[in-house]
Amino acid sequence: MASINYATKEINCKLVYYGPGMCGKTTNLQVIHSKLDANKRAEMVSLATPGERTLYFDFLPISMAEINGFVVKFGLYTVPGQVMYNATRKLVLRGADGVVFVADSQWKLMQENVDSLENLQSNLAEYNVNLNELPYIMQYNKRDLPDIAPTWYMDYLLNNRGVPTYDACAPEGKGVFTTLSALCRFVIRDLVHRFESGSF
Amino acid sequence: MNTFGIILLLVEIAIYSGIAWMASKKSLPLTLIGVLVGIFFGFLISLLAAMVTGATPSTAFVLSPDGASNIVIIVIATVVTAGVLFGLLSWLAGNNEPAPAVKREAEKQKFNFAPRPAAREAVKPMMIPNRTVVKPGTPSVTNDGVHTPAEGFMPVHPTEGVFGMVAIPAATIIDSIPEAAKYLEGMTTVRVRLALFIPQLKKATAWLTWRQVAMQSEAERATENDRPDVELLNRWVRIPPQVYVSQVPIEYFKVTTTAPVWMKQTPVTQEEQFPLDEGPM
Repeated sequence: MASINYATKEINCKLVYYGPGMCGKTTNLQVIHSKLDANKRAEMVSLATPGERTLYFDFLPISMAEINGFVVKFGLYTVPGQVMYNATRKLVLRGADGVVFVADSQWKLMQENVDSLENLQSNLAEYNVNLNELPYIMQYNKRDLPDIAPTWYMDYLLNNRGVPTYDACAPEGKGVFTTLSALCRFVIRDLVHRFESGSF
Repeated sequence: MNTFGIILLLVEIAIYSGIAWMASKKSLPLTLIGVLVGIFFGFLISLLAAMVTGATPSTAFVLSPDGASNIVIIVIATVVTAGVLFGLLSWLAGNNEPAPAVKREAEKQKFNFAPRPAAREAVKPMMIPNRTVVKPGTPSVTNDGVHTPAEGFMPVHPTEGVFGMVAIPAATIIDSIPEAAKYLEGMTTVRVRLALFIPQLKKATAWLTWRQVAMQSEAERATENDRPDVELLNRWVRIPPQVYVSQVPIEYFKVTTTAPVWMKQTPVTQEEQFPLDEGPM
């Protein structure tokens, strides 16, 4: 749930990058951090193991838009993808305004994608939230690798709601900003409608 | 003793012999003893009866049965003696035990805490599995290389009305069950029923038991002369999606999508601040 600070005229939103281990969530944030103007972002905080696996979460605050004189700031978070860190994932997911589900396009990781999406839904359910209410989009990452599944098959497995999907190759920056922009649009749209309807 | 008396005595002896032969389990010595005892016992009863009724209290009366009342006494004595003789000889021959079939049934009905021999043989010592840090429900590969699906996964039932076959590389099967190699010798692929894959399409990985693969495919011919043991038949074969997806008709991948509420909202002007192009915003 976005928070509004009337004193500083800020709206803070939380966007979470979710997905199986090693699918490229942290890489997305690193690319955003490296390519975004310094005046639009703060420093990235990353709690990782020596093997560069996310231990707790990554955090990158960016300020990118304005609604009715309020600056909209997005806090970008990633979750640890390793299956044993479910408690951390659940904690990071709390109060999310939007989710990017980063799926690994490699054939051998299809089941991990399916399991991770199910895990996302069950963790959201614990906060009484479901994916019909929460804006989320799909990023099919690692499209540059040779042994990858076709997107129609990934749609069949992961996208039974027909949400927007974006192909990406995160280390090269392909699809990273398109994905972020698309989610920000949905989150802003949702915010504005809630403002207008008075349900905010 | 007149002729009638002799006939009566012979009939009596025949009756005693028959009863003694059956009651003594066809033992000749016991039968002979039984006949002698019967004649003696019958004589005593007849004599006693004659004395009680007061007809003619003498031995001569019994030995020369004249008149209807005397005949009745002798017949009754014979019947009584026959009954007593049967009981006596049955007891002597150990004939009171239940028949073998009845005995077996009674044995079965006795409750026994010990497991039956077949059940004892089926019990195998259990090994404590190695602890692995995995999410419950995640498929795993154990230390001995055996692939297993998520906990509680049951073998799927083939979808009804689905025909066709899917060619699975023999190497994929051998990867999960190396012991299957001898049954797949000379085969590059094994054709398995498509109906077994349809229920698992959404799971991204198909799990079949070796029994399902072998018994519902062309590999059946290879295994029918040398049936693998039950444990092997129940081992899991992990079939990754790239092996079968291209062979499944496309209509099985069609899903009806239901757009969520937030996607149905009308666009707002504020979102124009986020251009959907490749470069940084």
